Amino acid sequence: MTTTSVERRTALLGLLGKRVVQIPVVLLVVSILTFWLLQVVPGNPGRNALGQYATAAQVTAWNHDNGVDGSLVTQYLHWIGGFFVGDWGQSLVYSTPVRELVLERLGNSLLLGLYAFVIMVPVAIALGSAQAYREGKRSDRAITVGLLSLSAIPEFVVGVVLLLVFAVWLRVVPVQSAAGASGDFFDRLRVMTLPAVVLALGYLAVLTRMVRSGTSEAITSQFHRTAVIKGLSSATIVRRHVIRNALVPTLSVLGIYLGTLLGGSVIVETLFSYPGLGALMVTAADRKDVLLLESGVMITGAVSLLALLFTDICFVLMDPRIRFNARETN
Amino acid sequence: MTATIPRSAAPTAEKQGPVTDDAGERPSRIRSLLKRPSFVISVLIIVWWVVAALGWQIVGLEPYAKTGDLLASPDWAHPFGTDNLGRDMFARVVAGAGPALLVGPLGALLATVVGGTLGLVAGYYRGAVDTLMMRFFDVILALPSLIFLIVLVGAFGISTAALILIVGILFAPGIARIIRAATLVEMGKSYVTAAKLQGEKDSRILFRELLPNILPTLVIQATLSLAAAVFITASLSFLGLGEQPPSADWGLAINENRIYLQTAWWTVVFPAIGVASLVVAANLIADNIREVSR
Amino acid sequence: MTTSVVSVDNLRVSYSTSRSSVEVVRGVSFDIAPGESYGLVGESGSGKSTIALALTGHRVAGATVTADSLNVAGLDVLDLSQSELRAFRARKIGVVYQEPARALNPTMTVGAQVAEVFRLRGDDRGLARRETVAALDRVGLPDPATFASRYPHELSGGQQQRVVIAMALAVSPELLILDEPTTGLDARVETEVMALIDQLQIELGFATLLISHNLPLVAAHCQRIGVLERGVLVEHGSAADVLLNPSHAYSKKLVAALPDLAFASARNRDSADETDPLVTVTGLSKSYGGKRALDNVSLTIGRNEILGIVGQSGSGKSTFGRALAGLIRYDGQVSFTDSFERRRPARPLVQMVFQSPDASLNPRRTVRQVFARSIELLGGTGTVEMLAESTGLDLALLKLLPHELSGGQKQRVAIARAFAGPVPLVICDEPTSALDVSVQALVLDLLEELQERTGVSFVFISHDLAVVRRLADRIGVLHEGRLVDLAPTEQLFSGDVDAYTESLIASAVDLRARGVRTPAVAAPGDGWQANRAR
Repeated sequence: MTTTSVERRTALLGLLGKRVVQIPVVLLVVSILTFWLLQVVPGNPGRNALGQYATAAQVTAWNHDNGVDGSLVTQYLHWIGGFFVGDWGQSLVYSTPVRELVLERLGNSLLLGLYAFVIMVPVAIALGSAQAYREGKRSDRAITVGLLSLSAIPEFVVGVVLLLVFAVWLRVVPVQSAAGASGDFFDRLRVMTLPAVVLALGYLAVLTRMVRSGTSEAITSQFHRTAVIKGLSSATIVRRHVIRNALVPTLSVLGIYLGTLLGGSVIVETLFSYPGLGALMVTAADRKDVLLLESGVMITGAVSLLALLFTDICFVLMDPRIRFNARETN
Repeated sequence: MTATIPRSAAPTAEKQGPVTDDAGERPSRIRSLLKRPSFVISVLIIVWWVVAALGWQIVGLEPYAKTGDLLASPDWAHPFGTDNLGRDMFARVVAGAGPALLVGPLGALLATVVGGTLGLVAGYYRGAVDTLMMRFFDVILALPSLIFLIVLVGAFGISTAALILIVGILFAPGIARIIRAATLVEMGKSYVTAAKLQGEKDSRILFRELLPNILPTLVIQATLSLAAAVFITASLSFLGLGEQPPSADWGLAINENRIYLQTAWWTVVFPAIGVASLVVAANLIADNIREVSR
Repeated sequence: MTTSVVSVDNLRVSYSTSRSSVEVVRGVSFDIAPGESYGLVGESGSGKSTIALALTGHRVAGATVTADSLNVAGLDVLDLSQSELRAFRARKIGVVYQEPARALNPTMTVGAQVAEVFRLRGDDRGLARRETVAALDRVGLPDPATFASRYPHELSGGQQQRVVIAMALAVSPELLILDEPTTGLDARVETEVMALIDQLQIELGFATLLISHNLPLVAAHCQRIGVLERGVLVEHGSAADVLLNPSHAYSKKLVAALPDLAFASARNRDSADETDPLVTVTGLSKSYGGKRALDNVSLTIGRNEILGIVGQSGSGKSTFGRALAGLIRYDGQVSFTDSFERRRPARPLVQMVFQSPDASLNPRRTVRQVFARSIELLGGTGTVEMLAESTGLDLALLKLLPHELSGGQKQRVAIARAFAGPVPLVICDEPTSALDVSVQALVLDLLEELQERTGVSFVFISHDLAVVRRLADRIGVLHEGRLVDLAPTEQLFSGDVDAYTESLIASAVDLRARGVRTPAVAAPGDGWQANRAR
């Protein structure tokens, strides 16, 4: 009893240790990549920030003020150093500290993402497992095609149609979700429902497909047959032999989705005028607010990686076979 | 010494060219594709949009001129109604196929060629370069793709050439990973080992032995990335980071007109149908190919 | 009738799709008496596993099962309601499956999986736990209390199968169905598992139905045997009768195809000359991540010689082959005789024939394309047609793709490919273990014939001593990466050998010898070997 649980705890700690090293390294690479793409590729940052009508002196002064006038390495170190101590610079567009702006918007995005996630997972599990038990039948095929089409349609199209139906015709929700950031809980929930549903729909197809194939694999497996021939009742078989095995493959996808959802969803936030991180970054990209964009990318990256870490831990807890090596090389 | 069997001195005249590769299998695959209604309809939809993109000028449509009242609802003169500037929505939706079919396919092609080659080479040679490349792709894929896209737009701007490049960069890592995985599966089979043992050249193993077996996967990936590229460019236009007014681009039209959603639904719904039909059609084609090549 | 544990009369099972219906079991009848061991032998696709499933009342989707009688443990299986069926499965029968790794739920501890059976009987949690420990103890698992908290992937194949046996026998069933219980296990583990079952059968007195493609295995453990061919029971009788005097053509083929330890190769051994070596291997070592796969192996391969390499899985025998072929990096030296190394133009010195015929041919290239390219690359002088003829392939097959060929045909193509040009050394890595028994023998014949005709040296790698003994001039035994024995074939079987080799031979001989012993009781004089169609 003890040896195996110790082994498993060691595996879990080993994984955590590995990720604790990995996450900063990945973030570092992301920071360099982002810095390079945003500061070097487009050319003179001061010129980009101030526009073509600024004088050369103004450009030089701007570059100096923002610490982008030395060598590339100095510039990068200046920026990343500031980032680590919490000095993320001043937003060009909003004229407020980037840190406050990003963190406030991050809160909104996390909320929306989590809401979408909570809607999406049970629906995917229900649909996917229902499909697996009806494999090959017409309803199975219909769900697949329906969900596939739904996820293939861009979010802003689905969103527009849903807005038309629920906001314009039925008037159950407001057209704009800007109020989502304030107001009491139920108000916020009501306002956020449509954006969250649209977000969830985009990922539902792949997730459902994963649940379906996981379940289908579990119920056609030999250990399922073993359980049947043992004489177990159907309910026991589902509870003890199907659920866990069916959900293990789904978990790896969930991690990626959770990260994507929490990190802010550009399209949905813009469509519903929801004040999230994604919408903020679109503005930043549009208006060449480089510092804002860089910090936004770092935060989004960090959130995604932490979400992956979280699912990895769930993975260890759910599946005694630890398969990280396999996952990483695939 | 060893003897050869057979012992005849007659040299072999048999030289098989690539032309005869798959000769036995491919026609039947196409035939079974043509039997699938969803495949045929999808192909017809794509053909229709290609014709529209190339031919709207010839037919004399006027997507940029005021030809009717502002926000007029659909009638015989304007089957899709008019927008806030009195421009014919039908003409604009048809012309909107142009930008959608410029960036998408070229970007997808770039991504397929670059990603496919990198994946094939990485999977075949393995080693340090492979590891480095895959770790780097892991980093990129760990970021939500639209965020990455926004950074790329910030870096390269939004000209058509830049957009094609961006779509290529965005999709290449994913394709490379899938092709690499497919290559590794094939590499595990002993026919590759046998070819190496016979002294076959690397390039021939890559392109004659491996590529034909990976081709279905590559075609599926190309089709899927075509759909995703159309999706992404429309999304960019929607965000104001792609095509600019007065372009008839669908994403842009949806963004411009969504304030009229309550009063003039047709200004939004028809461009939306445009994007949706193209993306879903490409996805269904990929899905059908996947099922046939199983 | 009433005393039988199993009474099957005119059992028919067919699978139907929307368009067609295939009958896979066609009117099979047999009985099993209490405590008796009955064996069903047949090749893959003969319907033997379907019969096992039918006995448990398990219906595969789309399958139709009919029988004049299908009684197991006094119950009419076809007539049971769902809940009766569950109770029947829980109390009356136990099943041991092929591939225990897949028969066990990967996300549950083995203890929990065994305990389920006791819980089903109505035992409370504590009692079920104690019973589980006792059950694991009974199948000889070490420290059963700790063992119960392990997961299947933490066990070896043999341990997994012991767990499945413990589970099957948990509630003392009247019938134990063994469906290819040792396929995929090493010979020594196989012996242990089968000995365990024999012992438990004596202790507990259940009847067994042993289903296998492995005739010697079945003969060693069953009193009576039925031979299945494409869903029809073509022959049945006592183990002795079936082995001694197979009457049906198919049974004769099965018996004749058995590579037999008692028979040495008919090859003319004088032709092999190990004093004139083709290849000299010195100090060959290979490690994978700190684990030694090959440890300082040195040997020579003579011209015109067939060198057999035997070992269990993980013994390093495949690594040896791959190192020899230059497919992996290694420490040590592999050197060919000078005349070959200086050949111009440089041609491959080694060709291989692989285990899986499915993977060894490119699915997109026709046989003709494969042959043409091979002749070109290996510098052969014949035509594609001559190559096909020399390996017994019909010329009509040349235009086909691999998926249109049978397993045996594919393996012939793979062999022909290795012989497309003058190559001094051919390595066969388990070339017959993925093939059915009757096909195996034909492929071995072909290899033998090709060797005699061309004088090429062979390295023949296998886990199956019988197969190696039939072909090899000398046999090397690998154990944990070390060459523990290397001796001329007959000497290895009669002479002074390493303890490990001895146990390997013993477990192989044991299985077959027991197959002989049983009939020896029924038919005095061990004449059945002499009767073998040879």
